[in-house]
Amino acid sequence: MSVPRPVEAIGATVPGRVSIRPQALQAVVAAIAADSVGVPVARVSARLADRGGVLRASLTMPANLTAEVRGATLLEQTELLRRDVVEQTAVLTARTIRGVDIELAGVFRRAVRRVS
Amino acid sequence: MSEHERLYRRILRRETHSSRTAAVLAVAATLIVLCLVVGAAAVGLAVDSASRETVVSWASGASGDTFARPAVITGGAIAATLGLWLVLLAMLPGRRARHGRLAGRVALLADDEVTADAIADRVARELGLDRRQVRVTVARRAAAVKVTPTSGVAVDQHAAARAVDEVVEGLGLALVPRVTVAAQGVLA
Amino acid sequence: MRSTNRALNRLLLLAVGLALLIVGIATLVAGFWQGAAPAREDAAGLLRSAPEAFAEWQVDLSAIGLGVLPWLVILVPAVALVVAVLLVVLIAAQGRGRTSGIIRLRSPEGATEVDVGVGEAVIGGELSGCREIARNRIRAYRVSGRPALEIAVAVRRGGDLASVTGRAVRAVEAWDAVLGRKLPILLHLTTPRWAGLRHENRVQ
Repeated sequence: MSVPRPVEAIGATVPGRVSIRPQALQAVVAAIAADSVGVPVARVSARLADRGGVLRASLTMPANLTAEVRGATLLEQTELLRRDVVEQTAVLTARTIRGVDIELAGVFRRAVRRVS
Repeated sequence: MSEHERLYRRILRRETHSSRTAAVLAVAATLIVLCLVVGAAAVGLAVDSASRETVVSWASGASGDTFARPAVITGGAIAATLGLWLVLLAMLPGRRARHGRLAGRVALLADDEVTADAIADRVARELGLDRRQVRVTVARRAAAVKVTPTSGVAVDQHAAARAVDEVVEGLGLALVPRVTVAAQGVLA
Repeated sequence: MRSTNRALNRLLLLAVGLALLIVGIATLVAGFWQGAAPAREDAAGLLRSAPEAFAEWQVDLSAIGLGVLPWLVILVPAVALVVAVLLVVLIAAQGRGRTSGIIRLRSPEGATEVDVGVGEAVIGGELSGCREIARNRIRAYRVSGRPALEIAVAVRRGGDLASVTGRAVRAVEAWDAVLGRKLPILLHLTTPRWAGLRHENRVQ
């Protein structure tokens, strides 16, 4: 997946092309998702697919049941996740994702350190 | 919350009645075998002229005796019995040993066995009897409690009925207590 | 909570049953009725003349090398095949609706699937403190097109059913708060004896 774009540097315009390997793209999306939900990026699996020219993301990650996050319900978290993934992917990679499928498989609870 | 009321009613109705899947599978399997046999026979007859000859000669020799009374009557009886049984399976509700009710947030479904156990435990405790002296059967609208009394000790049937009501009302099921005391008691 | 088409099942049983019943009664009548002897002769005559009748209804398939065949040889296997296929479809249609342990919710921006293990973690966690519950089992289904859960609770002998129900409903409310949606839930009280399950949480 590559989109030819001129790289704009401050003060100069050097022609060139930015191409992002699919793996890198998926890693970026996974990192965004992990950050949004608050789970380790190692437990996030991100797959990107092209559906007739439209980019669609498919994410699998554990549900974050840590008490501090309880303020937001799982479904609210997934809505925020969708928004974060679409917005931040666009900012970081100039790609517009339309449609994010999310699967919550497994459970994540951040270990709470007792400070005595 | 009655937000899932209609769905719950549907679920409970399905969960408390038999789906008749077993009967349908048996009937379908039999019919499939029949179809395969008839289909294969037709093809076989077309292909194999020798078997065709056998069938033709058998058919040509048919007389009133081919439809002899014993055979006809037996065949008819079997078919009619089987047919009646299937019709009954189709028409009768086929209630399962469970009771259900809408319980606000959830649809509640209780196996009759659990309800009966709970009732028996409570009755035995109320009457001060050993658990084995109380036997409970849960029917469609009633809970039948059979108490085997201790010799020489009277059984308070009202207390037993009250115990049944406590358990049943705690679950919200509409079961009427029916308490019977056995004529013969146990000595211990 | 599977979505077998129960009306169809009963319809099939009724149809086959009535057919058998009618044929059976007719045959019984034919057997008992004294005046049926001529009818039996007629039936025998029919059978005798059958081979010629079948031989007459022919269709010429010499063009594709099959020679001349009676109609019946084409018709009967074809009908038999169609019926057999319909029946196989009916068999396959029994007991659908149990999802593979996933609660699926669709929205215009994409699908959200919540593995039933998440529900087990939350609900099972809430129920684990209850001494009167021996085991609990949570399964996801699709009922009337919507995701639903069945929570089967094995009640220990001597357990108070009302309090177990109360605990379970509170666990469901906790799950509602975590998920953010109130799914339809069937709470099933059972005895501690049952066999062979997958998503089962054993509780001490």
